[in-house]
Amino acid sequence: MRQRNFLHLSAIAGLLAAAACSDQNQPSAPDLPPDLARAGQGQSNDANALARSVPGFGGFFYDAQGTPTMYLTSPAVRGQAERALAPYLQQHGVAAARIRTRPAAHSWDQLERWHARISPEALNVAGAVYVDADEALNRITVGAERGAVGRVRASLARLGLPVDAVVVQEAQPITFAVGAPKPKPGSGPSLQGRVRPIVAGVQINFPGFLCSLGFNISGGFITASHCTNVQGGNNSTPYWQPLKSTDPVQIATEVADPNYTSGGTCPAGRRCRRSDSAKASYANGITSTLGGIAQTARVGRSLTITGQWTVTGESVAAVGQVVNKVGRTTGWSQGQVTNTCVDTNVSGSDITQLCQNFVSATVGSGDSGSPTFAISSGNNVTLVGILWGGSGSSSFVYSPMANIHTDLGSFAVK
Amino acid sequence: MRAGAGGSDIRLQLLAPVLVHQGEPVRFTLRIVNAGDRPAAVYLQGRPPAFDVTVHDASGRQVWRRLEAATVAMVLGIRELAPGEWLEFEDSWRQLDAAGGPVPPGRYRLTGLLPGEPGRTLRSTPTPLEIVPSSRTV
Repeated sequence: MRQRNFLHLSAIAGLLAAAACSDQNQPSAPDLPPDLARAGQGQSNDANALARSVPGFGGFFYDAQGTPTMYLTSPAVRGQAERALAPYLQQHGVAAARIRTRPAAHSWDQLERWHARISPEALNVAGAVYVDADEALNRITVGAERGAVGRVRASLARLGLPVDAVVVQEAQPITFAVGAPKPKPGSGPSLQGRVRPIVAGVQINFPGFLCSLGFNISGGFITASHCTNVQGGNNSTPYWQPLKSTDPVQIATEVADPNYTSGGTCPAGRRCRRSDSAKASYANGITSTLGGIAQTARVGRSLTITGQWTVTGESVAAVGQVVNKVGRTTGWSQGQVTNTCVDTNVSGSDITQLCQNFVSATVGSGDSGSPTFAISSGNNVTLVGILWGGSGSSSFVYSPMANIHTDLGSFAVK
Repeated sequence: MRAGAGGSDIRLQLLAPVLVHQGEPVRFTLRIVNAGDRPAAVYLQGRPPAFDVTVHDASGRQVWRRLEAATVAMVLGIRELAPGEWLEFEDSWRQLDAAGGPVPPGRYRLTGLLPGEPGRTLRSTPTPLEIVPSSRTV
């Protein structure tokens, strides 16, 4: 997991024209602070949540070759860790014998405690970008702009943490996407065209903006909270698909979008939620396919719909696992999860999204809301969350499913 | 409505002082103008819209970028601008380089960028800036 903090400059936009980490409610960790206990993505298939209570377990991830790997402070606890991980391994078809071990310097439980201490401190330092209990490094990693590395190190020194517990590193610069096809609204079987029954991944329009539909639920759909008239709070946002100008029949209305709140683990002066998600209810007569996600022919920027992915359930992605997204701007993208449970500041706003996941894959403006999923077999997929942000064009951020349930309650996705 | 961002009718202008004292924040305004005679759409990334400014020194080395490492909401905003209408975004550069140190007096170039739809990033004409020692009268 990691936390990101960004330049907080007083940007203003004005129209001056003439007209114008885990729902770790696990009994095994009763001494965690309440906010941390709610913080993760604790489903039965969250590897790190499952094994956190094993003494000496230091984190589970997939390495660059896709090999399941875990940190252990002692080889003697391998059996205990394997047993704790069994539900995850079974769900993902991973034989316990395949897991490689690395010597851990710190337990996962300890890393999460340090993470909880470091986050509020680091997020108040100008230029700090993120804080991550990094399961792939068995350290806390803190990202900072080049000019802020010294300041971040100085702030962390005051916490008195072990020297080897924290790595402060430069954050990657932003780059912009180029070369995407021009939008062709209404031109046929396209992610940007009219699609009925409505499936996930297609373009939706609300006043002044374009986003992507996250996934269908019974009688409605989920998309990003900032894909509503006001981020946080139900404003009965109307939706059209693909555009009001090409099909003026309203398809849905926003019905749930919890307010962003301060306090707890939310950094001072900011408003937080665990997901950037909102719920909309379909209008009478609008047809949709529960569990359907638009499929394009290949990974890349083709926007032509050639079939459908079928949602068979929900899952939790681990660092190193390959996930996918389908969105109206950049189509089907695929890449590895690079960080999980990151507290992320949203550029130009006072909003911090708690416990989000990062993926190394293509993204573009308008992809907000995209379904993010893991392919289980053939066209069957499990939802891992919805995309809401990006850092440049090659890294996207999504809200994990458990966090969406925390904010929006229970719903069925298939 | 015609031309989107990057089209012939939409212009991006960076307004900034040409001479400042060392250490003085450099305030800048990024203006998006519909220079045509018909309404035009401009595509804006993020909410609030993300806008970028880069600073290069006399050797051409980039010393600062406003959106470095920022996470931007991936919503796509569409604004229609009437002929002559404009949008403005304001911010300042504190004369710090990417490493956080103060930049020396000298000549620099500021460039504004406005991401929208992929492939439609608007770019302003570079604006010269001279930073003079704080003791010098300007």
